[in-house]
Amino acid sequence: MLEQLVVALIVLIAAAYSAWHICPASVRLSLVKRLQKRCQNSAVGPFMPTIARAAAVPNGACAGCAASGRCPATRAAMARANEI
Amino acid sequence: MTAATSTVDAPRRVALLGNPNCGKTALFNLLTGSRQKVANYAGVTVERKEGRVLSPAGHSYRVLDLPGAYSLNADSADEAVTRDVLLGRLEDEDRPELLVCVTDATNLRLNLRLVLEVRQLGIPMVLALNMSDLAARRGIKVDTEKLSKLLGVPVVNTVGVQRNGAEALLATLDQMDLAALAERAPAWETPSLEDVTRTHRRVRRILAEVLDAPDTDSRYDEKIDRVIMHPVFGLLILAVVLLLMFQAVFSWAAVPMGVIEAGTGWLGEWVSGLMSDGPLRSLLVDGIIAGVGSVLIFLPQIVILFAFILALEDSGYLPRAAFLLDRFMGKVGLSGRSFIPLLSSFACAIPGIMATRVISNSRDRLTTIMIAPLMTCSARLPVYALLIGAFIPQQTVAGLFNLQGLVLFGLYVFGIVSAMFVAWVMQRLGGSLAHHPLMMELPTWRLPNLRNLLLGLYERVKIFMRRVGGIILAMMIVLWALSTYPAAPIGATGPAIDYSYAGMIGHFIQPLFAPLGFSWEICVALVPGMAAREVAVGALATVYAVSGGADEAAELGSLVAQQWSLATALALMVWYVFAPQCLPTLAVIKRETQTWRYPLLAAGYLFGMAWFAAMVTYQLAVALGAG
Repeated sequence: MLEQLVVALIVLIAAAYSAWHICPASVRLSLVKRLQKRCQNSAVGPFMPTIARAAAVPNGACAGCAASGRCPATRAAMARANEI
Repeated sequence: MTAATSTVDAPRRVALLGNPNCGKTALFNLLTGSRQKVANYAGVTVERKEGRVLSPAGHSYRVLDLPGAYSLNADSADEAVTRDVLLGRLEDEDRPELLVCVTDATNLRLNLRLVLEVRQLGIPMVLALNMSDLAARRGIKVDTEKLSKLLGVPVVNTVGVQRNGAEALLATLDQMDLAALAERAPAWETPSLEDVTRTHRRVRRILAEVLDAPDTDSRYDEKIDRVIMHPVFGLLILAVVLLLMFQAVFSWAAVPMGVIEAGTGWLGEWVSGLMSDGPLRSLLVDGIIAGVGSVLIFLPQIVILFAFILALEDSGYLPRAAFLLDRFMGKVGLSGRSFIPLLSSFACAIPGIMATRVISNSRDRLTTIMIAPLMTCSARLPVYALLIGAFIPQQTVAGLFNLQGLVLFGLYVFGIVSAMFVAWVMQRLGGSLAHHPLMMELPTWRLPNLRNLLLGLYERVKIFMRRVGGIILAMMIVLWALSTYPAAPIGATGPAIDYSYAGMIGHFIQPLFAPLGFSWEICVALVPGMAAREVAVGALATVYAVSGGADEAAELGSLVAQQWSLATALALMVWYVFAPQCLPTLAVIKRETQTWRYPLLAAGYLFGMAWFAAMVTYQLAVALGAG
């Protein structure tokens, strides 16, 4: 039973990560914005700015490249993330 | 926008600007410790990039690396970025307080025009004579004191590729007086023809006073170029260079690939022996080790391919290849400026599409964006390598060439020819097949810099390993779950995977791909391949491992060789030449064209071509007895 639970947890985390990774930054940001309203007074509240900044980072095929983090689209997304 | 004067706490805003390919990015990397891409040709930087540096005197600088420009009179989107940053026209960018105008010390005649134009903006400026080591080796002497006096700005020698090459520059920046910075944005007007002529005259006068250069006719560059740029020998040399590159990808990678394969196999067996049978063991062995291991195995081939590309880039050969191929590009109505974006697309279509900003003609830019996904990106290499390794025998052709390398070369050429065909159709439909002559500054020949080469390779390995440890690992776990659950019902006669979600999805899609000879397992692998193409290889490994057991985890190549026909393998290779399944590429096309119309068009035409070409390949191969 415990083994099944561990496997289910790993699969859930992997599915969430895949969905997060595939989503465009704009979709992720609007999702975080909606979450923020609900979680403002919860334990997650203080972490929302960090989550928003992570959501603004592009995850495309060139995500790991040093040249990809400073594009205008990223700056605009970061500015939106900083509003949260 | 107003400029703020620096305080002890606030970092000073410094912008690096200069002509394309004068070494700005190398200097930027040296100053800030960044690892931005550098190459020995113009147009590598198309956006402003930022880094920080703390000088020995304790001043903090925010350094901007601006795209190369020949003039502030912008001709393309990347040059406009440089002009707008300097003039404080960008809303989210403060105007720089200090400028470092980087010049190629071996080509001052061209570089000084921009210096004189920028000087008129009134922003405090330092002139960096970059590549001063190369200039000294060529016997070029610049009287820096006199040049400084004539221009009215400090002049320092720099070497962007040497560890201490920017020390003098930092010391000079520390001494700069920022009080001279005007409160209002600098005024600039488009120069008239008379202004340009006056600037040229002034450059000639200055150079006559400060420059002592030997007769350029005796330079090695021109002697080498006479052979390399020859319309016949040049093309032959290019073909040999590319053939050698693809031969090496297969020949040199065999040993390290074998080591990784053996390591993955050993790890799978070790984990199997350590754990009792159950879902966790299946997840680790069939999902993670089989899936991720089957992609990781291609790392040596990717490293070898990029080592060649980076060495050719740094030597100055690639722009010459652009000139050789310009004739062919012109025939399909493409501008020579399309070459660099298309070349970048061999690594990944995304930076390639972004690099189209150097193309000033909007129709040419759009055509280049649409064909960039047809260039064989590195994510396709694992798929090609798996299929070639499994189906093409390791034999020598004409006593010289490895057949596997020749097939890989053929697939790359097929991608290029298809791209040219699509460009020709697009330009013809748009009524524009006029040839725009290629105007490009040829860089000087040089031996590839080991630091640049290692940095470039390190970046590629890092990107690949991040993908393997990130999205590929996550998707393998999800795919394992989809291939394992729900379990087969009691009394089921078929393999358990047939009853799983993955089996259901595969069987549902398969009729669409039946004319292409694709099995349902291949159809399952195509779906996660939309996030990243190489995931398809891992997905195949996981699906076969789940259906066949742990023993088959590390032998994907021999497994597909047994289960697929040669016709299916050829059709899948052709499918991947056109394969539209890369969502990030479509997203970046949307971003660059500001409309959904073009990504949808790209996805539609790529899918149509992939399906049609793979279908023709399969049916032809079956008719010839390869089915």
